[in-house]
Order: sequence, then structure tokens, then C-alpha cells
Amino acid sequence: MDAKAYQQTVEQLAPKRPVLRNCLAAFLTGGIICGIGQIISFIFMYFFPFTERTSSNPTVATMVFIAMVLTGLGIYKKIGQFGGAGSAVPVTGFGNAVISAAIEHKSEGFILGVGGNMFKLAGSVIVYGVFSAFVVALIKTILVQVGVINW
Amino acid sequence: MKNARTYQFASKPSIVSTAVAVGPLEKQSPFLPHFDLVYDDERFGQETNEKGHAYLIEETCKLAIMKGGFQTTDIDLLLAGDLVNQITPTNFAARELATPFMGMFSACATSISTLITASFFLESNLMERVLFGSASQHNSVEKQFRYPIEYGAQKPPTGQWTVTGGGFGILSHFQRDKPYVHSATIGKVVDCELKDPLDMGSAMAPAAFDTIQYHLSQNKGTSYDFVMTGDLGKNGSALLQELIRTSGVSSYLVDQYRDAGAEFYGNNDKFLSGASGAGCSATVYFGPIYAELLKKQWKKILFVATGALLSPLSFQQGESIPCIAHAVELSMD
Amino acid sequence: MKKFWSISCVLLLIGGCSARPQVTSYHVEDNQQEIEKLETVMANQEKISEGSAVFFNDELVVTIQVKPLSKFSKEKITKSFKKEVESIFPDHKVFVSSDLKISWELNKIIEDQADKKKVKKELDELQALAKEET
Repeated sequence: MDAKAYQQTVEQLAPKRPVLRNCLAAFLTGGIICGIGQIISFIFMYFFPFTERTSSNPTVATMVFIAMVLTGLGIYKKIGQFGGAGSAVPVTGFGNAVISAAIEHKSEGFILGVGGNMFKLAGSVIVYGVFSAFVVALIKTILVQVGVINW
Repeated sequence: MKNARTYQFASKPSIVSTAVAVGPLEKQSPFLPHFDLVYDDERFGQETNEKGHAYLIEETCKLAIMKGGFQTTDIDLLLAGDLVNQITPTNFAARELATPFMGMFSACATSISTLITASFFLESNLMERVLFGSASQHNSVEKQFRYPIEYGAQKPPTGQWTVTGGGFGILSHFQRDKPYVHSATIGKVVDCELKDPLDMGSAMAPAAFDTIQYHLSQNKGTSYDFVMTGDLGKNGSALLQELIRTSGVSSYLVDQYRDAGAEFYGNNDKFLSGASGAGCSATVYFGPIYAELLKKQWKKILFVATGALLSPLSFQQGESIPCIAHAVELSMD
Repeated sequence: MKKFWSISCVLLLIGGCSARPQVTSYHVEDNQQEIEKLETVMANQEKISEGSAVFFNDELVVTIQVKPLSKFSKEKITKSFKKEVESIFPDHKVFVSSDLKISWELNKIIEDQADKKKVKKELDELQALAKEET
């Protein structure tokens, strides 16, 4: 069987992905999640002594809490199947990745199971997030020393 | 003869009894009336998914033995497998059944690979009764191969849903009024360098085509009521039909062609391309189709179970997906 | 159907781009002149949609709200605005913030119109709140 010819057949017969519909679904889902986040931010600012700058912390915590509840109830994966990247990119997606892995590995105990596997999916986000922050900070430090930009 | 893959079984070993058990989601299957046991709990009352998987295998085997009118001690050999690491659920079930045991792994083609092996043992006349089959449990397999159950990753339309179910049977010497194994073809690994683990139907179709083509070339003139593949899904079935059409292999088969995975959950889009898993082919072959053979609704069927022989590690290392398909011709006089 | 969506999209875009005038509200101890000076400075700013100010002895606390499209350069706008205000009022201690919460709190202080001691305390609390990092 000729691999290349078969691969072409596979591509021809592949079910067409509704790209426009997927983009729209992702846009709506991501937008709604971020809209909810903004409302929560305003609630924290209005009722509590949080400023715009400091309200981001409790907002993120609340969003992750909501993601936890939805993941535990099995609702988040339905949102994910509909919204795709719209539900995966916001912090709720990160929360879902960590929480779903924690739930999954409870059967192996809390230390090796939950503790050891919790960041199975989200680990690369953390590693490369920290690494890229380091690289960007390094570049900025060099540029400031050279005198191209200011802090 | 080089690489002889097709064998005729002159002693006509018969499948004297079968048992099929499924989980709660499989109630949505149009094959439901032919499932012997339907559980409401996908963990079957056990603490973990893996324990539930072992329990499923154990109970289905016990039922098959009971339906055949045998005792566990009558079984000469248990040939079984599943999709989990080191086939531990099958190992633990075999511990409970306490029969002589050889675990087998052919991914989702295990249902037929165990049947073929059992047929050889019966044909040699060295054994009397061999218990064969396979099973899968959705949560254990997802944990093994893909993402945590609650993870919100979007599955593509080529994705398939692993069945929670097990199908087992007992092969013994020829009995009238029971379907018997007439001929079988052992598969070879076929790899068309496809790498997407969320599109296994496309990867497995060439293997199915290779085995079907070889089997038909060795059995010229035989007419089949239909050919049923294990779990190519809607996507893979379309590709197989395309391969058959363009190759000119017995074109009449294109009409009489079915796929257990594509039919398993009916036309429900929630299950994307269809069902898959070692339990998919096993539950359909040894449940509804076996029952229809018993009623003499069909005379000769070619079962072609397909398996994708990858692991999560091989995929991460950038390897392609090698696949295999085993075929068994079941007849009813 | 298509026509309805295209017309409403255009209307929404126009609505979002409307240039709203500066709304300034302030509480003052005395000195109408200083108020007017500040007003003229604010009126010249194109990127600011709202502003509030409180004069207290020689302290000047100003909050501004930046227009949505210019939110990316909020820090820059705040800094340049502060420089401008400082140049106009060289003998005042100027504090400028573009934080939404600080704006709300300052508006509350203005509405309160409390006596001198209370206003001093409130302004100090406000500036401490603005300095918070977490």
C-alpha cells in the first residue's frame, strides 16, 4: 500500500471541519467567560476595597473556583467540546486541566497520584510561561543597559 | 508456503455459548436487546475504574461459562485481553476465574485474535473448551491513552468513543445448530505513516483492506452475507469502501459491508465517528450477530476486527500508528 | 437578515466611537480660578473621557478615566497628564490615578462634602489604597 497515495485519499475523504462555525463558537465562549470575569472584577471593586490593579487576584481565584465546580460536575467538558480554544485559553481552561488531572489520579493516592500527576497537562504551561518571562526580562534588561529603552 | 495467513478449520470448532455485558452509556445502542448484562454504574460498583474493568471481564466470563452449562473447571484455557497497561484488568479477572490463562494483546482486534488462536487449539484436538474474548472500559482506556475524563479538550469529528463492555465466548468441538469457525486469516502489521491518534479509523482502514483482500483471494467463490469490521467508525469505513472500490476487489462486498463501531451508538453525533475499543467488536460480534447466526438469519459472515498498535509514548515520540486486522469466517449450516 | 446585521454592526461601531465630552466634578475649599485652570487642561485631553478632582490646602488629587480604545497606553497617558498638571500647579502636591476604583472613591468623597479633618483622612486613605500592590 502506497503510504503517500493513501494519505491523499484520507485527506480527500476527511470530514470537513466547520472552521467558521468553530471560530465563532470559540469567540462567543471565550468572550462570555471573559465577560463573566469582568463582572466578577467589578463586583470585587464595588463591594470590597479592591482597586483595578488588586482586583485581578480574587477575580482569577473566583474564576478557577467556578472552573473547579463545573469540571467536577462534568459540565466543563461540554463547554469545551462546543467552544474549543474559547474555553481552553482563559484561566478557567488552565483550572480545568489541573482539576481534571487531580480528579483522575485520586485512585493512586494523594501524594503520588494527585500530587504527582496534577500538573500533567498544565505543567508545560507553567514551565514555558516562566521560561519565556525569563527570556523577555533578560532581553529587556540588556536593552535598558545598552540604553535603547527605559524601564 | 511463505507467510501462509489463511487457514481452514476442518474440524469446524463451534462457538457454543457467548455472553456480553455493557455499561450505562451503551443503553443508547440499537443492539441493546442482545446484551446479556447491562450495568448502571460504569465502575460496576468497584472503587476504581480499573477494578471495575476487571469485574466486568470476570462477570462476563462467568456468564458465558454458565450459559454453556459448564463449570469454571471445565475451561481448558482462557484467552483474553484488553487495552490497559500490561492488560492488568484481564490478569486480575483471570486470578478470580482461576482457569489456565494466556493474556493476549491485539488492541481492538483482540476479540478475533483470541478466537483464531482458540480455533487452532481446538483444531489440534489438544483442548476441549477455550474461553476467548476481550473487553474495554471507557474511563480506564481514556486515562491510559488520552486525557483525563473531565478535561475540556475539543474532540474532532474523526474521534471515537471507547465502549464500556465485554464480549466472551466458549469455543468447543463442532456442534450442530451452533455457528462454527470455518476459516481465518491472521493479520500483518500495516502502517501508512498516519500519526493522528484522534483519527484511528483512517490508520486502521488499510490493515482491514489488506486482510480482507488476502482472505478473499484464498477463498475465491465464497459468498458472504456481509463483512463486518470491528471499529473503523464512520470515517474509517468510508475509507475502506474507497480502497475496495478503487482496487476492484470483489466489488459486491461494498454493499454488504458493515462496521460495528459505526453502528454501535446509532446515528448519535455525540459519539462523533462511532464506537471503538476492544469491547466494541467483542460485544457486537458475540452479542447481536451471534444471536442472528443462531437463528439462521445468516449463513456466512466475515468478521474483521481492527486494532491500532500504538501507545501514548510512541505517539509522543513522533511515531506513526501501525495497525492490524484479523479475520474470522463464521458459518451456520 | 444579512441587511439587518450589517446595519446594526455599523450603528454599533459608530456608537462606540462617539467622542464624549469631559465631565468634571470637583470639591473645592475655595479658589474658583484653580478649578477653571484644571478644567481647561482636562478639556484639551482627547484621550480622557472623565475626570474628577479634589483640592485640599496644597494637595491636589485627580482621577481620570481613559477612553476604552486608548486603554493600552493608560500608563503613558497618566504620566503625561500628571506632568501637565504639575506644570500648571507647581506649588501643589499632585496625585493622579487612572484606576476605576480610585475614581469611584473620589466621587464619593466629592459627594460627601465633609469637613476638613474627614476629607484629609479620606484623601490619605485613598492614596494608600492606590499604592497597594496585592
